[in-house]
Amino acid sequence: MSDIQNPVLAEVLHKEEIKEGYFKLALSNLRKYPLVGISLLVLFSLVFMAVFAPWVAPFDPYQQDFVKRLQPSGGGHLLGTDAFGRDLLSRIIYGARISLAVGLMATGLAALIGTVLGIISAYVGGRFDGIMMGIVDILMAFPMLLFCLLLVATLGSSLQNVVLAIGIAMAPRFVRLARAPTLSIKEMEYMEAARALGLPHYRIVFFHVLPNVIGSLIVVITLQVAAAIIAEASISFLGLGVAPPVATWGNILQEGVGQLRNAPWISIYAGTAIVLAVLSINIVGDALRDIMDPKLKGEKR
Amino acid sequence: MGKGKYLLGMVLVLAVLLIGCGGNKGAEQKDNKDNAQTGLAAEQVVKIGMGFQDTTSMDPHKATTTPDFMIDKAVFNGLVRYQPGNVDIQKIEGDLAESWKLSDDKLSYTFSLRKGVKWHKGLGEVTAEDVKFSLERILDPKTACPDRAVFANISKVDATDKNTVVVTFKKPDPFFLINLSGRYGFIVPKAAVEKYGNDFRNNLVGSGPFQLESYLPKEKIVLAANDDYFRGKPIVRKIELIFIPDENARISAFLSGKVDAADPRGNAKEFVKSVKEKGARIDYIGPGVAFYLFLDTTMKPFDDVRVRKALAHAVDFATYVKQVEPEPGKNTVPSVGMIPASGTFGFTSEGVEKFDYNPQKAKQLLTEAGYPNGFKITQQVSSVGQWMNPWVYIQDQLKKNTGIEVEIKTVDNPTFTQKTYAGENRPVTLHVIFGTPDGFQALSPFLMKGQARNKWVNYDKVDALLKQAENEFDAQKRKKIYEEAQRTVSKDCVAIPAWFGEATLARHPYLDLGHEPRANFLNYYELNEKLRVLKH
Repeated sequence: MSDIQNPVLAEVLHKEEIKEGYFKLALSNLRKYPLVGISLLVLFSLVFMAVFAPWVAPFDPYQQDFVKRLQPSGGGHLLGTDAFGRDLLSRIIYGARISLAVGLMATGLAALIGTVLGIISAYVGGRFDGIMMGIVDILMAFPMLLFCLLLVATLGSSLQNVVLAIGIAMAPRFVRLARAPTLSIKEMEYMEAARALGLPHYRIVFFHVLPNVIGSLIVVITLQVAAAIIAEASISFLGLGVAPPVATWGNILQEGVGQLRNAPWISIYAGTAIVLAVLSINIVGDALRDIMDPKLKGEKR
Repeated sequence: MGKGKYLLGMVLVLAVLLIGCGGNKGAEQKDNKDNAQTGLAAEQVVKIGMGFQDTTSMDPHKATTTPDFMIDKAVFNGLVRYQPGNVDIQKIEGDLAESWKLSDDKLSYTFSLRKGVKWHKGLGEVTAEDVKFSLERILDPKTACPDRAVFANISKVDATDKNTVVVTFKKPDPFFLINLSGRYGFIVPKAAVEKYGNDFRNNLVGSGPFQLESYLPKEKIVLAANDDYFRGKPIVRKIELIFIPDENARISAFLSGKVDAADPRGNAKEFVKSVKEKGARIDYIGPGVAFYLFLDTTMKPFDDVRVRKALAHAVDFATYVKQVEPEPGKNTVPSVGMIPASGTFGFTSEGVEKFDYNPQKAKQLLTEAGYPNGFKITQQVSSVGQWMNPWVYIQDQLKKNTGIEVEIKTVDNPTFTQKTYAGENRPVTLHVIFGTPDGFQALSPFLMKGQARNKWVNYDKVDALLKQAENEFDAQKRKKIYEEAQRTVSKDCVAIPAWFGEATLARHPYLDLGHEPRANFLNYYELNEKLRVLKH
C-alpha cells in the first residue's frame, strides 16, 4: 500500500486490490483444501454430463430390453440394467439433466421472487413489511419438503409444477436474505443525501442495495441448489414428480427400492449420484462463503 | 425369631403362588406333550405376514379387501361352502345348513340347519332367525354390500321354525348356491349386530373355527381358537395376522422365521426366488385373476375393429409374463378369451380368436385404418408397481411398434381406482377379471347392459345371450352359452388378454393347512380347524 495523495486514485487502487484479493483468496483456498478442487471437478463433470447427455450416454435411456432386465454391470452396460432392461448409466446421465435443471431453475425462481419481495418489503417498510415478514415466518415454519409435496399434490405432477413448487417453498429464505442489507442501506446517512439530491428509487436499489445483497446471495443460491436437488429427488421418489418413462434420480431411486434384494445397484447408483452432486455443491458453496465473507466484512488482505 | 417367622411366611406365599401357576401349566403341558407325540410343534401359534396396510372392513357384508375376506372366512360360516382347497361348483357342501331342497317350481330353496352350532362369546345358538336376518341385511341398501346385486333376485326369506329357512326368488336362480358360497354369504348373529350396529366390524361374533381376540389397526389382528366349533376343536390356539406392507421387511420376517407365511405384493418372481432358496413352499392359489386391456368400442379410434386388433398384435405380453412371473407356464398362462382361468366353469379356447405378437401386422392394420403414425392416448395410472410396471412396458411397446404414444399421469391408488371405475381411462382401460367358479360372474359385469364395468367396452352384442344364462339351471347348456359368448367377443376384439396369474403365497413347510390350497376366493390361505404347526 502506497501513500498515494490523490483520493480518487486511492479509491480505484483499493477496488482493484479487493478484486485481486478475491482471486488470490480463491487460489489459496484451492491449494490449502484439495477437497474443494475435487468437488469443483465433480461438479463440472456432472454439469458436462447433463449438458452433453445425448453424446455422453451410451444407450437411449428409454430403450427397454425386457430379456436383459436386472443385470449387474457387464455386457456393455457399465452400471447394469433396471427392471425394464434399460441401461442404468444412460438413465443416470439423463437424470442429471432433470435433477440439475430443476435444482437451478427452482432456486433461480426462488431467488428472483424472494429477493424482489425482500427488497421491496424492506424498502417500503411499515405495515407492509410487517405483514410480509409475518407471512414469511409462517411459511418458513413449514418443513420445506412437506410444503413442496402439498403444492405438487395441488398443482399436479409435472416438471413445471415441480420447479414451481420448490421455487415457492424456497422463496421465503431469500426474502429474509434480501431484507437485511436493504434495511441497513436504508438507514445509512448517504441515502438521505441521495434522496435529497433527487436520486430515483430504482437507482438506489440497483446501484447501492443490490451490490450488497449479491455477495451473500451467491453463497446461499449455491447451497440452496443442493437442497432443491434433494427436494426434487424426494418428490420423484414419492411418485409425485415427473411421470414415467422420464428418468430422474428420484424416479430411479424409487424403482430401485422395489428391487433392493435382488438388484440393489439400481438404488445405490442413483443414490450415489445424488450424494455426489449435493456434496460437491455444498463443499464448493462453503468455499465460496469463506472467500466472500472476509470481503463482506470489509477486511483487507 | 420374628425374622424367622417373616421368612417362613414369604416362602409359604411363594410356594402357594408357584403351585397356583403350576396348576395351569399342567393342562398346557399335557397339550404340548400330546402334540409332541403326534409330530406337532409344542406351541400351536401361527403368524402370518400380510402385505397390506390394514383391513378395510371386517364386517362380512361390507368387506372389500383380501385381509377382510380371509378373516371373515375364519370367523364366520355360510349356509353352504366350497370344499376347502377348491371352488368346484359341483362339489358345494353344507356349512351351517345340513341339507337343502330346491322346490319343484325352482322358485324356492328350503334349508335345514345343523342343530347346536354355537355363536362365539357365549351368545347362544345359531337359529333360522339369524339366517333370515343375515340375508335381509345383505339385501338392505343401507348395508351397501358390494355384491347386493347378485342376491337381488331374492323376494323373501322365512324362518319357518328354529332350524328351517325358506328362501323364495323372483325368478329361478341357478347361481344361488354359488353366491352363498362366495365372499358375502356369511351368516351373522342378529343379537350382536343389533347391539353393536356399525361397530360390529370391530366386535366380530361368528360361529367359525376362530374368533376375533384383538385388533390393533395397521399393526395386527389376533384370532383365538373357538373350542366349541361344530367341526371340532381347532388344533391351532392362536393366529396372528401381522401387517407388513414393506416388501423387504416382509421377506426378511419370513426368511428369519418370524412369520410362518407371507405373500409377495410387488415382485412375485424375486420373492419366490428368495424364499425358495430357503426351502419354503410356494402355493399358487386359483382361480386367479387376469389382466385385460378393455377397449371402448364406441370411442374413436377404437370404434374401428382394425385399430383394436392392431393393439392386440402390438404388445409382447408373453415376454413380459416370462420375465416377471415366478414360474411362467406353471401357473401363469397367457389368457385367451374373456373368461380368465382355465379352471373356471365354461372356459374354452376352441374357436376363440387369438392375437399373437406381430408388430408388422399391427402397423399394417393401423395404416389401413388411417393411422400410419399412430395416435396419442392418456392414462391415469396408479403409482403402485402392480399397475405402473405393466403400463411402462406397454407404453414402450406401443411407441416402438406402432407409434401410438401413451401419456402416463401418475396418481395415488385410491384415485386410480375411482377414476378407472368412473370410466375416465377410456378408450383403453387396463384392469382385471377375477377368475370365478362359474363363467357368468366373469362375463356379466363387463358384457351386460347396465353393469358398472360395461362402460369400459360399451359392447352389448352378447347381452341377450347372457340373459339366457341367467335363468338356465342346466350347467351344460350354460357352458354352451359361455363358449359362444367368448367366441363372439374375441372376434370383435373387445378386451385384449394381457396375462393371467394366480395368488402366489409362501409358507414354511411346517405350516400344514389341512388341505391342498388349489383354489379359493380369498386370494390367500383358508384357515380352519385343521390348520396345524408341525414340529420343526
